[in-house]
Amino acid sequence: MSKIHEVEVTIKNSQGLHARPAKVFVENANKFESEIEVFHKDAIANGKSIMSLLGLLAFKGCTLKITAVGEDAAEAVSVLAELINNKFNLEENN
Amino acid sequence: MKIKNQYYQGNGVIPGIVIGRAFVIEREKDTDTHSHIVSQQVEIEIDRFKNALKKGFDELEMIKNKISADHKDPGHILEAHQMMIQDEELQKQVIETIRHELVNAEWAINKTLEKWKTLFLSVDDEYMQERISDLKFVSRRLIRNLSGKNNYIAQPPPDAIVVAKELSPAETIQIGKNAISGMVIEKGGKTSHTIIIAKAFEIPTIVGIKNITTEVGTGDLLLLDANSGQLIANPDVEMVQKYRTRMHKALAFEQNLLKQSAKPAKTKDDYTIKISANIDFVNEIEAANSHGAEGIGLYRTEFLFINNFRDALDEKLHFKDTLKLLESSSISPITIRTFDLGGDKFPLEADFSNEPNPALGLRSIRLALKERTILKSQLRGILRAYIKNHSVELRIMFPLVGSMEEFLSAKEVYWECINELLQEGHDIPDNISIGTMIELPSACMISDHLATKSDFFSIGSNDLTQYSLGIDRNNDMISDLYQPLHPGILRLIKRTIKSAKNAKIPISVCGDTATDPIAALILIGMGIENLSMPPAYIPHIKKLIRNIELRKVEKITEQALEMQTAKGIIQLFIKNFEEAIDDSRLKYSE
Repeated sequence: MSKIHEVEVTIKNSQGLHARPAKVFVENANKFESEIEVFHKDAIANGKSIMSLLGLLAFKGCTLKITAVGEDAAEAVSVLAELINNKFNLEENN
Repeated sequence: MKIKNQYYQGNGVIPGIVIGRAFVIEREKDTDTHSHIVSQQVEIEIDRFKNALKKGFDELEMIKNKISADHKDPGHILEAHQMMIQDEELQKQVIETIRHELVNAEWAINKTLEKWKTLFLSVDDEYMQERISDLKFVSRRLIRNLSGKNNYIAQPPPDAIVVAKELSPAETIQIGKNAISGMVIEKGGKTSHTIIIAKAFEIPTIVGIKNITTEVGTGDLLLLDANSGQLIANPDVEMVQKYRTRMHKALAFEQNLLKQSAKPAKTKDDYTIKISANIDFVNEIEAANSHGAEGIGLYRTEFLFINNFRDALDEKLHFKDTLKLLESSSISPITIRTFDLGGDKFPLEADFSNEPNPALGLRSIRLALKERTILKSQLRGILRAYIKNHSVELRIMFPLVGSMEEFLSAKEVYWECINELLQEGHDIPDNISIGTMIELPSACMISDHLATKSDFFSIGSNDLTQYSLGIDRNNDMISDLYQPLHPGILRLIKRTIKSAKNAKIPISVCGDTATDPIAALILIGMGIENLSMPPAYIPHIKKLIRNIELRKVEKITEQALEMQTAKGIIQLFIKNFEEAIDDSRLKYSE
């Protein structure tokens, strides 16, 4: 059984885990084979489902825990955490 | 054979006379086609659902391919919608609902999305509405696909006259870009945001003709005379000819007015009234200049929020927008009103408010003081732009102030921003004024106090009228009772002017009242020296002012203030200034 990789990261972009950021997150999560889950407070979301991520109700300042299980789990969590730290690469040109 | 010269009377809300072909925006009712199914039908329903998904995805793909690559944000949003359609969790839940509750696909979609909606509504966040509208757009698309209904928002051809039951501000923006020549909208008050947008695009518009979407059909020839509120369907040759003549005359009149508009509005007895422009978009500066505006009396920032809602918290948005405004303007001062959202002005289609009475609810400065981070982003953005370019005078005003505490709190936020910027090493230019918008009767009554802390006053006549009379300006059933010249309102304005003069601060009136020649005269007669209005009206009001003597207007106004009814006041002014008033309006000869 593969080891669970996990990382905690705080949302920095102003909109939080909103439609566009969630879309970008899913696009990146889909690049990995691993199963990815995202935790916010008591809620758990499938990291490859936009609806499920929107349902986390996560805003700017919220801390998320991302877990991944699978061959590429280590890389997955680090890529996804960096994505959140980079504000989903969406706001850099503003 | 269609009936020739069919007349309809409505209210012309944006002036102009045009001839064009009707383009009726038909929206089929999204009827509930909910039904129970038997277990043998389950797989059929699931197949129907999957087909609707595929079709929905393909439709969005087609729209996406049509927008240019520069439009990154619309692209992202369409892709997010596509992803929602493809979402496994969503599909799983809908399919489970079909299977276990034995309901058809339409019902299952509604049930599933209702759950998400409830979830989104459980938190207080300004982006939630957008999530809900995203859901609504996606689910509507799917349900229309299931029922075989059309999903495309039809775009009118250029020069068409758009006929619709109702249009949201967003739809109006879309349609307004298509160079249409006129609009006929069944529902919509004179001062609704939809109409304000149409004004920005200068689209001649008539509202309030009942059932017009069924009375005329796409392709019918229409004569739209928004100056008189008259619409003529399927006119005959003579009628068209008559209107062509009218149009040419009106055009010649307008051109003549425009030629004069750069000159100041000086009364016959040599007093100058300064006329400024109200604008909703930065690019309206051009129209303001060409129509002879001598300043920007009101820049409404709401549309900035509507169009960039996700980024409204980002001060860069406000920085860039203000900088563009400052750089493109040579007229001074520029008056920026902080965001006035809530009530009827909430940006999103979905019913934002669960408030029982949004007009009396969390809106405007109340919302801004509750969401200080948004107000701060806006103020900091504006200030940073002004630090960079301060060639014209800047005025910032807060809307819907109702008490001293509110105004002082707003000013506190302003000073917080100033202090932060000083600490960050910026020099703050010293010619910034902070003013109060007077839109509530309570503000008029305490205007003497407010004047001690304000650098200027600006009377927002639309809201002041609505809140003083307790009349919803958008409600067709009572809109005839909406009287901006009600004696009670004139007294409130008079009191406010007195407070401003005592405190020696400037006072102006922005709002639609000033576009009405009689109202403009009364305001001037009460001592207002600054009027602000949509650019299109400036040449008319300037012409009016050039034709009158201030001393006489003051005398008549004094009499008017003693009168008991708005009707009496209007008659008094018509009696005394009929020629000047008529002369400033469009005139036709048959």
